[in-house]
Amino acid sequence: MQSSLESRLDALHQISQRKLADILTRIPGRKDLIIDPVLMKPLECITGVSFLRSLGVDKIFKLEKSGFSCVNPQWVYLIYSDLITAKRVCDQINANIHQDHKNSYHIIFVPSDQVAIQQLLEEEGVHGIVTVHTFPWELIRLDGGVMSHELPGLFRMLFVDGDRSMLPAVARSLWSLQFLFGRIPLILSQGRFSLQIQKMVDILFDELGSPDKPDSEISCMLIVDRDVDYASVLLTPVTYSGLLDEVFGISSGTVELDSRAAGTQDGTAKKVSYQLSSNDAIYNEIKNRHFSDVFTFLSSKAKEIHSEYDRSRNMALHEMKHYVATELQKLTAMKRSLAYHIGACEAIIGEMGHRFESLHQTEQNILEGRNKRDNFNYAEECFATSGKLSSLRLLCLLALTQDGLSLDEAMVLKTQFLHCCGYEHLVTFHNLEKLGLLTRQSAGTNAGSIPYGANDTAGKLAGRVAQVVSQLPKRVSAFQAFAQRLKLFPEVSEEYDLKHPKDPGYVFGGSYVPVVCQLVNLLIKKELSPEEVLKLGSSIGTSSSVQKTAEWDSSAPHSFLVYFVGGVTYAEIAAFQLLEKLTGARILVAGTSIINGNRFIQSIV
Amino acid sequence: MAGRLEDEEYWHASEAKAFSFEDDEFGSQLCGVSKSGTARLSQRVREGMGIDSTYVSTDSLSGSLSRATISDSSQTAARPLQTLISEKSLLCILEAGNFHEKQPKGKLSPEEEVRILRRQVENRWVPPPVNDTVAKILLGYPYSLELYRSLKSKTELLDAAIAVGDGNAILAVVLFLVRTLKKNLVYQLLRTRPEAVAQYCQYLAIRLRVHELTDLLEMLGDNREASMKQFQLAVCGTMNPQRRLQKLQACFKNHFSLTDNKDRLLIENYIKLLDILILEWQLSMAGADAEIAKALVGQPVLSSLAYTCQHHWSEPKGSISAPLTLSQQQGVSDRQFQWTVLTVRASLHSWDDIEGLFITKSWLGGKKLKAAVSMEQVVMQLHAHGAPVDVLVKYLELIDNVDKRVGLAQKLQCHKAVVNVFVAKRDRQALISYKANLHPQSEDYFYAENSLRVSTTKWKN
Repeated sequence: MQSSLESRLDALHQISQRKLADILTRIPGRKDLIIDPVLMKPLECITGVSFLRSLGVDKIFKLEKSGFSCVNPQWVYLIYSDLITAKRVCDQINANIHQDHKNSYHIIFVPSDQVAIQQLLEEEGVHGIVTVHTFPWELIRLDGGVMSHELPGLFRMLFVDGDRSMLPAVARSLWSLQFLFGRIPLILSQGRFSLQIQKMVDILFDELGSPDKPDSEISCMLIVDRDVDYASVLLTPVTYSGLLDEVFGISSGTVELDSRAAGTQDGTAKKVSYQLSSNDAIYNEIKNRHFSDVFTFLSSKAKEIHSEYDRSRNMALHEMKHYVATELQKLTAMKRSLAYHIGACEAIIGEMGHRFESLHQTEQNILEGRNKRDNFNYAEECFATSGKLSSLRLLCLLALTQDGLSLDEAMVLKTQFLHCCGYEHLVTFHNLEKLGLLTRQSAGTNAGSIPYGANDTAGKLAGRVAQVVSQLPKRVSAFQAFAQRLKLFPEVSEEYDLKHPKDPGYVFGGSYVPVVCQLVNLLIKKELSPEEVLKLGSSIGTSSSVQKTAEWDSSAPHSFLVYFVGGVTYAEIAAFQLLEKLTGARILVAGTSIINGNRFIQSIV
Repeated sequence: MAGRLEDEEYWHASEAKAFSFEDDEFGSQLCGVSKSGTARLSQRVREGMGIDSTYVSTDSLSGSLSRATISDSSQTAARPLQTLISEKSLLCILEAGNFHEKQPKGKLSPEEEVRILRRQVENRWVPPPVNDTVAKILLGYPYSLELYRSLKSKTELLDAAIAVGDGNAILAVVLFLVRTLKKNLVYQLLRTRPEAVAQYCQYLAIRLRVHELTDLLEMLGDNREASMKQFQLAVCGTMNPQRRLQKLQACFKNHFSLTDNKDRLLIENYIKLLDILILEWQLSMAGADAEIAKALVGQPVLSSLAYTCQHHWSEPKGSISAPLTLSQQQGVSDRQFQWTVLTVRASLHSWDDIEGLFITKSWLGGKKLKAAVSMEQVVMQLHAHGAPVDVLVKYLELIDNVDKRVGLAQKLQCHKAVVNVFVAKRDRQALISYKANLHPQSEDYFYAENSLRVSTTKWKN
């Protein structure tokens, strides 16, 4: 049963559809649509072919280097507002013009129009020839109360390159979301980009209007920068959905099951995409379970179905008729779903099984700062034997938890990495440095030589480190001090049962509670005021703010919207869903994209 | 009916399985669930299942582009929009992108009309408040920056854009400044405004305006960022190997040659590697080798190392294509060197070469282990390449931790190694019960039996 909060989210894709329809109807007649391949998956969440056809779209192409053969004189490009893609489109249009074709050209930018692109269009000489539209789609609801803006490039833009040109689009999506629920009375922001987004949302309310709903159905919104909690991205999740994302990569709520899991023994590399939805009863049961608990469930379910089939064999004819009409289809669908999930489990075990246990153990040691020598050795071994993503993840985790590696340690790992992955990755390490995920900033020769960019957290962190280190007698890093203050390491006792979790830390096998989940938990319990809660969060060196409107009534908030600038992980989503179950609070989770450790590293490399 | 019986057995069998000798799969277990378990279950479930193609949704975009997609069309029907949001709110959202000149409401008195007209005329030369302009950019409304002509108003405009944090507005203002101010003044403004610098640099980098970018970064004293951008360009932007080498050398001279640069050595090694691949190998080697050397240019050091391990293994020390030479010259770590050699030589089944890699004979004829990789990893890798049991046993014996050794030996069915452990522990009982699980009359069985019979062993039980 959907809650009223969640069912309101049905409006999102309908509004997005309306926006797209408005644009397409402004382009009269039959047209060909050329779609940026990276937009394909998110677009599928919003619309389908028949909808586009009803708006006069004839042929649909993927934007590719090789070009395509349009049949209609109206060309409509639908692309991310990204300079490089825009340049490619300009080239295609110019080539077409030079062949003396007289077509009319349209570009629809998702999510916004950019000065840099306008400049490019002008320089390329297509300004005036091309009609520009923008399609600021709403947040895309992936499943239940989970939403994503599907801007996967945003993390790198903001945190590595310091490019803020997408922030207005994020602000706009949060502005229009509040029309559904009413203006949220309490807004907490943690991190520099979140603060600016909040400021922009205010401007939008002033300039474009505010919702006419008197009360908000959501009592509190948290906007959080991804760098508040990198650990939740880097750690290996143990929930089914988390591992599924880890091994296959879930994009826009669908997972591509390749031959590893699709059960095609004949070796045909046919890919099948499978939409993960809570309407799938089996997925809904297992998505947040600890992996060890998934298989037990699946096999008991299989047993059930099996005996159900058996029952049907002994049925009388009239019974059978009824059965076929009602039960059979459901049963077949369930069986199909079961087959996929079992296949996926198989692939997950095959992929992760040989290193899962040692990896998990090492991650836990790294978090708590134990056995430093062994951890480093493990990482080194990983550099020699495992892929580049997993080794860099460990390196980042080491750096994060020790407030940066020493110069020597960093050099050893860096050299090994460059040897096995290529010297061109020198740039990768430079990016890690910018993120504050490599060396101790105070010790490096580069201290102070980076006057700008995305690393002010790192700088602040370093200051914070010095401060904390001077206060503590033992060698406890700022990270660990912070984690202890916020109680991020669950107390694992005999009763700690991963199969019946009582603590959101189960998503990392009981070794770590996602920061933001803990902040929300504190708000629900109301042991601390919102200001105090945010102050706890801000000890990692980010700025924060609390904004209350007149309607705020100081009672403990009970319905939340949590928004991650830079992406949210499946592990965090599971943690929030457990928190909902434990406390009865309602929590909607959203982000600029869904991220995981591998995509995190890929966006830096 | 036999099949049915098996079925029954299967469904009622316990999931919690003890270690089984038949379980020949190795390393495929996660959280206590074994892969063979899932495989069996999946086979059962798939039995009699139709082909997926019937479930391809016809409405899916990617499906229409000829790729199989399964999406459940049984999605619960979405509630109609009117019940979820008020008409007014909906219009507000839909109209948000469109700009409408604010129309005065009702009839205007002549005075008001004059006031409005006067303001419109004024607006042609008096710049509007900076915050208004920045808000217009944020909202996607038409705007003009031309009226901000004084340095003071330009500065205020830039600061207003930064305060709002809209990168698009920041870039618009910076581009305007670059167009209307002399370079020195632009730099002066940027120097204290890191957000603006980042935004502008990113733009220049994507547009490949390298000279402007480097100038800017060097002016601001950020040599490291400048050198990285140059490096990126030299390496990633240049496909031709010779050109890349030249560019890299120039880049090294300009940016990395200072002795305190921590990346100096790495870049030097990179240049050396390209040098070897492009000049020495391609010239000195014949035919196929030269072709491969070309392909290796774009690949990491370890690929070249693997290549030498495969094709130039027996070359004398010091020869330019001997593995050790390359490895030392590039400063490859022992761990990576050993792992690469192990992988390549194991794939060629040259087990003796691997022994030489890890075990050195000391002066007195004793054997010394010099492994930088953990022996467990070595054994697993050997097993993956199909090493015979005798070879595996040899390396299993080198695992110091006895429990780990026994565990791994059992998984890999290297029973001799297990037997040896029990003998070393003088644990007769354990050995006897272990023997009971071995296939009678097998070689391993006799080995265990012989071990039990040896009279020199002083059993503790």
